[in-house]
Amino acid sequence: MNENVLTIRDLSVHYGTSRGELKALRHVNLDVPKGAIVGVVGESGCGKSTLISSIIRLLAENASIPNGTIEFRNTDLLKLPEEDMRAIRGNQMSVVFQDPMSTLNPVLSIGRQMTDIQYRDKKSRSEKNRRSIEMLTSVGIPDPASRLKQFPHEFSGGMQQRISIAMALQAEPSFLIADEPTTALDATLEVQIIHLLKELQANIGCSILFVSHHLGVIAELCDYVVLMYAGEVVEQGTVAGVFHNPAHPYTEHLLKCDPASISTKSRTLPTIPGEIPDLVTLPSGCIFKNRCEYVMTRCDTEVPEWSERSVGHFASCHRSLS
Amino acid sequence: MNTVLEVENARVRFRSMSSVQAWIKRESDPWIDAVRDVSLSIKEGETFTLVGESGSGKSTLAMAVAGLLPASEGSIRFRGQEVTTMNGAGMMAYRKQISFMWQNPVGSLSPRQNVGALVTEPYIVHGLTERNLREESARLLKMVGLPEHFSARYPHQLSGGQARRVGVARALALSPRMIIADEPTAGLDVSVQGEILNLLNRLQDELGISMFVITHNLNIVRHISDRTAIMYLGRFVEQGPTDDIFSHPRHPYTLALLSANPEPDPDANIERIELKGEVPSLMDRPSGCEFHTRCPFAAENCAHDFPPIHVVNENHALTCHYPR
Repeated sequence: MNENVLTIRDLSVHYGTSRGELKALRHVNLDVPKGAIVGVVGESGCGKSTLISSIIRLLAENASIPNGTIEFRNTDLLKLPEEDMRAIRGNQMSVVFQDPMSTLNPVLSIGRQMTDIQYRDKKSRSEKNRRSIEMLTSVGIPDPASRLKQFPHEFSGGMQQRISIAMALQAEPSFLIADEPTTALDATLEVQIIHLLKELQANIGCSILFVSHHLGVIAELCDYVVLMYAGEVVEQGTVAGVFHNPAHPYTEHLLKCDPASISTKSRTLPTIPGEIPDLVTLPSGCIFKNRCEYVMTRCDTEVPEWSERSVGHFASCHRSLS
Repeated sequence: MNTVLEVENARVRFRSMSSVQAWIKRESDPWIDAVRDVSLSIKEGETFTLVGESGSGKSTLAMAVAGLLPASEGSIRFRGQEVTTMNGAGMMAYRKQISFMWQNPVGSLSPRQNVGALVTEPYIVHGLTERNLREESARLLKMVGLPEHFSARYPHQLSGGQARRVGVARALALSPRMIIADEPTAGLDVSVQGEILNLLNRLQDELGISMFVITHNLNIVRHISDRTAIMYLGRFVEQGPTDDIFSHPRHPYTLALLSANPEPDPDANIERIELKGEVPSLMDRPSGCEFHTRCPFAAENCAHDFPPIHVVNENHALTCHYPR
């Protein structure tokens, strides 16, 4: 049971810029257990997208990976030749992106796009068509056979996103990455998509890495949660453990800031004062020290260690250790 | 308190096909109503929020209020003046009193102008060139909490939150009486979202401006707004004081929207009202109550009869056969 589909150890990703090396990810550890939904939370610029791109190996050209391993079903993806990587992408591992309108090709019919991505299968066209209809039915598109002839703009936003999910799951991958799949949608549709993902995940038995900055969605959908700040994973644990007992001050702040958790009307909402540090010239010691309310002298010099607080609940902070 | 904006039975429509097409297809009504029979009023210093799914007509209504789209029926009055029949000069004067904050914080700023030029552009547009623009830009940036040296930056050098602040500064430039904010926090992180809302609340308290906020983020509505209207297919289905609506939603759609809101608590036991199916097309509005196709409580007569207006009190009304 405790087998991991994806294990990331000590991964760093740097981007070469005119100002110097931008250290977008530093010493990231992450586990995605088999059949689990893992949420990744963090604010913009914390490296969520870099993390996804490095897992599917679609990093920009100026990126370099100085250290680390990404183990997917016991093979290190970073050592794989490009040809083998292509065999994995879309087949064993697929992605649902944020904006469904830019995922789907606007000038091809849905049916054509869904047959095109089955290029690996040596099946007849009618069989592939049947498979597409089956997938559309499973994501709840009414009257799928006639819908196949339609173009993306003829579907609503929620339906477009369901079609992208259907396409991502067509090959029954063992690992799905969902990159903020509900941000472009409204509250009622958001709930529909979450339920759909949960249901499909149970049917297919895949693991999901769910990236979002919406804490409510994470709490509802995920089993485990990973918090990222300025290119580092600062906390990881079960959803219940992290949300009820945050070990890192950043997590604590983020949970307090969410207007959804403030039930009484308030004209002044809590914020996290300060700015994210510059990732080209990193400060010494703890990355969160300039915004932390519990800052101590050792935070200034020592980088906090990634340590286990309770079973399966990790964080990197000096404070909660003592 | 004085009423600043009053909208009565406004309707905004778009052509769905050309007149020749309509003639060939024997279509007697080649129009779709994006906003239909909407009435609202905003008082001085009040925040009015408009909530609804995408495509429900929120932005269309806001643009009609700003005079950017013509209303085909009904009246829109701003401090007693009719907006729908204004001429060019009247419109120019009107637009000094209202300002618009657009949805996309970075996209609404010209990439070729620096922040200083962007925030003082309204003065140039309205011919107020006798002012010292450098001083004005410093004053505006200070108001929104940005350091003065930011006036030399370009939009791509700003973070989402900073770009949003520049948008606020631009909206404040002409000291308007009302600000229309289309999704002021869309695309911002939770902590930055709080900063922007605090800024808007503070400025409203200091300057006494009215706000017309469009959003689909229900979490923020509760904290910023005095009155809320829920829009579905271009109509208001419920309108009333925000506190009342949140504590006691009566229209099934309001109920569903509020219960769909995921809570940041893994143990939260939310009793969800799930909506069936998809939002109907504006080209083909359902008969009777327009919500009956998705309503979990729909009865037989909902499909035939248009629901009556159910008045809770003078401030709170909704259209439903069976209010909760």
